Amino acid sequence: MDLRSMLAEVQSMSDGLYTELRWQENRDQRMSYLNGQLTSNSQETATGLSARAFKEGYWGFASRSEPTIDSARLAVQEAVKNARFLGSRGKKGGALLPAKATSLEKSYATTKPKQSTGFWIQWLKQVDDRLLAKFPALKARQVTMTSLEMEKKFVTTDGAIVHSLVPRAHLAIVLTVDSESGPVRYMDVRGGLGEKEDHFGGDVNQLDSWFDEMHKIVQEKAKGVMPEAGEHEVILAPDLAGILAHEAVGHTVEGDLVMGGSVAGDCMNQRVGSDLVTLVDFAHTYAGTPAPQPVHVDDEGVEAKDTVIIEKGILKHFMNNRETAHHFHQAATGHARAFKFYDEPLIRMRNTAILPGDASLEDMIKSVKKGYFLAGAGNGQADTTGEFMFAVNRGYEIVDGKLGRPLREATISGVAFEMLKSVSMVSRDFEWESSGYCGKKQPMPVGMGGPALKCRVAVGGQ
Amino acid sequence: MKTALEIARELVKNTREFDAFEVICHRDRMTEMQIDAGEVSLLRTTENVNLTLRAIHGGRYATVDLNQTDSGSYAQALEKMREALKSAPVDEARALAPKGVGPEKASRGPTEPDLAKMHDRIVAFARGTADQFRELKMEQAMLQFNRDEASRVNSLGYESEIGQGTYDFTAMFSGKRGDKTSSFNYSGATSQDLDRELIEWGALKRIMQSSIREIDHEAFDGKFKGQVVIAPEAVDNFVWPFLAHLGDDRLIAGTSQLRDKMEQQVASELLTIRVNPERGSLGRREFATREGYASKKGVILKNGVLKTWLLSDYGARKTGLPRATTGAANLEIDAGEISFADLIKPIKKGLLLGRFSGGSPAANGEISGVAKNSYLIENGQVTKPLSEVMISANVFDMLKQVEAVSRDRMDDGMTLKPYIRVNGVTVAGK
Repeated sequence: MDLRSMLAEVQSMSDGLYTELRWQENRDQRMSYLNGQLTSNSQETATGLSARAFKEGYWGFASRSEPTIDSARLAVQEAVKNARFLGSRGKKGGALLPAKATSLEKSYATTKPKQSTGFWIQWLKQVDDRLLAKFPALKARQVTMTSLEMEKKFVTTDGAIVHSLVPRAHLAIVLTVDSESGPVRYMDVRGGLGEKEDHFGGDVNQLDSWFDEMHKIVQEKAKGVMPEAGEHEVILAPDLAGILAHEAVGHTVEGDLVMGGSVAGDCMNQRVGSDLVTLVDFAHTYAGTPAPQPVHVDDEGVEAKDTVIIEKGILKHFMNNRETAHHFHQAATGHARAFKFYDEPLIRMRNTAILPGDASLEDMIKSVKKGYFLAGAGNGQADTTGEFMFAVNRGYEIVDGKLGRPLREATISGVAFEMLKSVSMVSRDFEWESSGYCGKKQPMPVGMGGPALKCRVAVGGQ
Repeated sequence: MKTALEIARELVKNTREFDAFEVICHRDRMTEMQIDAGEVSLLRTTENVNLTLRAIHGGRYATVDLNQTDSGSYAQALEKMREALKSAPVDEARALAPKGVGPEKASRGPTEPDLAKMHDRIVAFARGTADQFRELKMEQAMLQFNRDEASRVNSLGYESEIGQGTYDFTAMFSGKRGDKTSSFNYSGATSQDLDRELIEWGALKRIMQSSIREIDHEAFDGKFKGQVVIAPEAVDNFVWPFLAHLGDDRLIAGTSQLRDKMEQQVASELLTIRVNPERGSLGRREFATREGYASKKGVILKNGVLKTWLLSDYGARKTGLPRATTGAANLEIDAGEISFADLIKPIKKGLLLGRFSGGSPAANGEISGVAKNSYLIENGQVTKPLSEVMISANVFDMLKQVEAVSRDRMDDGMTLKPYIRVNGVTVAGK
């Protein structure tokens, strides 16, 4: 699909309405070995185009799977018709923040020679064989490689012309051992922005230190104790600070959720965290290198910019699309993204992170008399009240400033803005977590990052 | 335009290079009207076609999905298939569904959306809830018409052709008064028609009413181990982690906690769980399993005794256990004999769990998370809405400690679920 033809089509068929036209292809692959058996060997390509038109507060959207110029014409006509259908039956009113015409050509495709599916199936088998050779007593082992490439060509009646390709690839390993209380699992993931060739494919023996670390953790978990239920002082490892930034804070400041009643709507320019907390949704670059999910121009044609959500504890900005930016009189900073060609753009986080401080992790642990060190993020959920929850994959008791017994499983929760006010130390470390999908009507790849935090949270346990 | 069956037939007929080959073709159309922040804001129409190609050759297996039907895209997909098959290890457990095991040809539900009625219904919902529930903040609501034409054809002579149209409605909301807000909640249901007002679907009205009461939530500062009443809309959080131990992943990996428990008492005798895809009032019916076998009525737990595995044909061959004769989408939990009031009457101090926001359960069934939209029960009465309360339990112990099941059940158009009272759950506040 040629961008210039798309632009001509959308400009001639939009009937005077602001209209977007997007061609998109998502290419997925998944291969998985379970106890040495290839249980998943699948590839999926979803190609198509969609149009979205805006009329006085109403959106019309239409998509077609045939990626032809005739389909593009039909999609634009139907999107305009859909917007007019709603417009003829209501008087909502509304406007979009204007966006300047943006032009972009950006690809994060690998520059290395591409390997075949057969190569990766064999390589994964070597990974699995290595795990079996090293740890024959495991109850179960699962080795899964996933990859996703999202390619978009996009034009608007405002004159935006965008072509982007953002891939990511991950290797997930799950080890299971037996314990007195039944099987215990531990999962870890590696990979990130880029294609499989950018992260994997070398000598599998080089993964030994990672495997050894995982094996040590799962064995510790098997002998682990359940945490004591209730509120505790904790040290959250950097990967947990990332999911905290995303779940506990990020969702509450998405403009559409603020309009829907999120607690953050009443907190603008108020203190929501301690002085040590600065939280930023990065567009595409952090510390001079690409963030896990780079967005240069969003799916409404808005140039993506870093958004400082919380600055030294004070709530400063929501995340907006052009409509909520207009509503809140804030800047649109490029948060509108759609997952597949048939999805409409929603306000989505990109790379949400708490900025590092100057404490050492060692000193932070030393400062806790009784509490927990928690690491390894599982799934998480947020609430309009700011109450959040996420699962923790591993952890240790802290007694008199020293790590104690390992934990088996844990879930932690809190109220975001109360919990952020309890942050009393922030480490100088920083880590990105890149394998997550955010769920909000559509799934969406996101990046999450942060340092270690000392704070108070509720821990679910016995 | 070719039908899904014609496309699948033609591709199978013209693709003879594999030992066994199958094409599943879906033609989907969707029409969606959406409310954002209380007002109708989006009309979205989508059309898509999806082809799933499954091939077995020399005992090797692979699948390729694409959503284009032109010859060039299909040729590329076949090339990917050859490559994926070449390197896959031999796995003799792979097989396609043979002739005669699929569902009979069926077309169910509307074939076209009633756009004007969809608009009338969703506008009435927006206005009605704004009038009736002044302290309810409607964040988002979606009314969709979905029509799926699905055909499966394979080289063993298998053919199925199923069309199904449904209206699906979901609303997400919270109670809000001044700067006080409840936890968000959501509810929805599936129907074959738009005869009823949307607010009457599933448990929407009850849950929206509860959200307003939950504005006045109080943080819970106690801790006890005891009785919890699980609302129908939260039951899945505990039943599905249990059922997962009857399926492929856990049984093949050897990590199922129910592996040697067939025909044994694995849950309270008050608990009977069935699958019933033949209930006449279903909004959406599951016609076939993912492998194409007709989904039939079945009993998973009969008075707490394990009656069937939920294994695919592949899982059955890998484990040597019998294949399930049913999917599990149209789940039913048998009703009990007592009212909700009688269910909570004996509880001195307990929790009514409206929604569970929790982590995935551990491999041994331990689970913990936040009790959302939940209430304290004291001396047989629901007394106050709570916040900041966590619960933890083991799902296997929990289902053994079912003490009572309600007479009333929630019908969301897919499943039937009652209130369930369990014991032995740790409830902890700040």
